[in-house]
Amino acid sequence: MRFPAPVSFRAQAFIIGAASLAVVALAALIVRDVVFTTEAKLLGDALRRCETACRELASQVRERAAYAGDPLEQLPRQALEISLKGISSTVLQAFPGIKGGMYLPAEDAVSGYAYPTAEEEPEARPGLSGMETDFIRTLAARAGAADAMVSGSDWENRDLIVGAAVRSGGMVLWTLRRVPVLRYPLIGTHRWWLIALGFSTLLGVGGIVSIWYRLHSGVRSIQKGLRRLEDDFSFRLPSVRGDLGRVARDINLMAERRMALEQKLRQQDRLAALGKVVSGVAHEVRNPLNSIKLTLQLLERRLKKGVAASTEVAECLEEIDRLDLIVGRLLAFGRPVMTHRHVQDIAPVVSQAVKMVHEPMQKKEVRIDLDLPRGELRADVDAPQIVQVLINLLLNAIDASPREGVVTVRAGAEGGRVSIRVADGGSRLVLFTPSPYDQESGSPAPETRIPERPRVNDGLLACARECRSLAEALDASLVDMNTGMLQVAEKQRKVDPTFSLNAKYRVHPDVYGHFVMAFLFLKAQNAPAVVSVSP
Amino acid sequence: MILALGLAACALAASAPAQAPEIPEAWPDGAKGWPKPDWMELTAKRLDKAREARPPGPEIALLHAKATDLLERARRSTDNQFRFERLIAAVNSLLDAADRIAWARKVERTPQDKDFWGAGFVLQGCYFRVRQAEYFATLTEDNKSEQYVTLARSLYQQGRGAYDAREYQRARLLGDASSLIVFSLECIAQATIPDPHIYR
Repeated sequence: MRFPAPVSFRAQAFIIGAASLAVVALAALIVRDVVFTTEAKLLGDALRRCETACRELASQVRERAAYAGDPLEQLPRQALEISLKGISSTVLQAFPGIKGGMYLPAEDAVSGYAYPTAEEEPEARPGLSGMETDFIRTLAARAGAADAMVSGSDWENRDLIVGAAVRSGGMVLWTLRRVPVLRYPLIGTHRWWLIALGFSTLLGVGGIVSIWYRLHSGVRSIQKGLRRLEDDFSFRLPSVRGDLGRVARDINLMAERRMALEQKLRQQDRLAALGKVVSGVAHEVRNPLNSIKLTLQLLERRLKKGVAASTEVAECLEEIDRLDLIVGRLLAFGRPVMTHRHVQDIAPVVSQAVKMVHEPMQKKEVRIDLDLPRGELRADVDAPQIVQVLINLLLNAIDASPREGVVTVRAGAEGGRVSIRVADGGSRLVLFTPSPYDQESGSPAPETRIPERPRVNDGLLACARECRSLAEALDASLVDMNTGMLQVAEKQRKVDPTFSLNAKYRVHPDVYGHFVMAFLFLKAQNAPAVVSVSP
Repeated sequence: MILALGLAACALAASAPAQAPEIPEAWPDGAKGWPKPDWMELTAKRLDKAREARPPGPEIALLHAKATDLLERARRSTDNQFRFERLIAAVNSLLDAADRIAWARKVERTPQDKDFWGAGFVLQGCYFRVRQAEYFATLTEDNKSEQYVTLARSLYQQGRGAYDAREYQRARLLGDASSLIVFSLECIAQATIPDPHIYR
């Protein structure tokens, strides 16, 4: 699989925006070029036609003068207009759309005609606007000064006015053509189409920007989701439509598979660890078994002698209980995790846990203050496991609370996550000093100790001292089993120097105890009597 | 003015040789000496003289009849100076046209090598003048003004025929006659103005 060269979103936005602007600018330039080219062509064409018509008018006036002998400008105004209108009717007929007429400088009067004549088409009167009249006056002034044909153009609103003028005796003949809606022909004739085109262009650019923004924000969301997935396997990207939605679904599917694989790997790791634990626990299991075996052998001899005692049986039962506990823990450790995880309301889970601790709660007269939100508080949890966790927490809290105490259970949402807090009114920390069980028996006299070789009693005494100082520093409860039991043992030893709080066959991790332990271990392993011989 | 124009035309005709014609000068400025106080009398004498000559052809007869009517209208319009002058100018123009038609009849109908008379240029202008006549005819108060247009168009076509036959002098005379009739019609149209308030 090969991806195209990466381009940043900003670069993409820039390229898309630049391309859109370029298209719009190109279209504007093309339209402008077409307009200007058309305008220039129409202007040139109109100028040529006006000049030709004006030249023809002058020619006709000269022709008429050849037979009349009376200069037109010397006629009365009405007679002059009759003659010139007759001339114009023939000339301007060949130049449709062009007005023509005369300008009398002495009177500053402009007369205009057009074909069809007013008599043929009354509505075709060549009305001259003020702008056109001024334009004709300007042209006439130039023609009078130059004594030659002059032409020019001007704008009136969006119309182009083109004209030509030539002096003929005491008057100036002029022609004029008005090219309508030439300056903005597209705006004038295709206004709504242009508005629609502009709106479409804006819509297109807006669409592109919107697509870019949605794509950008979508990818950012996916990036955020992927970062969160690194820490929280249970997180899933929100479902959206479109291509990014498909990507999000694929990522969610991948996360599901990864979570399943992770659980499988954990299970495998747990089983592997279990194997190690089993081998390690074998030693732990064998000790009680050996103890039971020895006790049963002793019990057998005593039964044969007819001296039976219940203490041996009790010891066996005690060791069997210990075995049961060890095996139970192993079973719990190896049990596969059954997930019943799904999004659900937390309140019923908490309530169920509270019901389960009802009996110990009543026994200790502890009250549970339950603080749950009014609405639903949904979370993706495995309800049985959460119930078990809460039961353990509640039992601990009840146990730690004083009589008639209050345990507070508060559930709520904090920072997008659901929290359940269990608080009790009792001591939060209980410290136990080491038991003197291993300490006081079989200890040799202090004078026989070797100073550089610390004994286990030294460690236990030091640990007891540390526990006391910690309890004081942490304001924790302290169960000082060490001091009291040592006092009891000391008191009894004054009566019976051989008195010991420990069981008779307790193996102590002291110099002698180590030998006994080694003997028992090798014996249990059916080791040969002699394992090494010193030279 | 028209009289001087006619005299100049006659002088031109008298001096123009058949085979080596001279290029005619521009028509003399008719405004010189205009108006003359006795031109009513001069025009009447000229009309009488033309009638006595009795040139052949229906066109000339029509022109003389029209000139007679117009002269009568001019005589009745002495109270309106402008109208009077326009009608006198129209009569003289018609008589000039009749002279050119009579002259064209006398011209030798031999094809010529070159258009020394400028017949082509005259006929070109004549074409537009005949078309202008249609407009002028609409302005006259004469219900028979179409006769002027018909005659002018007929003379123009005869002139074109002569031009095609390379009879350039005859073509020029016929073209001139046609244009003079149109000018006469223009004058008649101008004479309909009731009260010209500007007079130069």
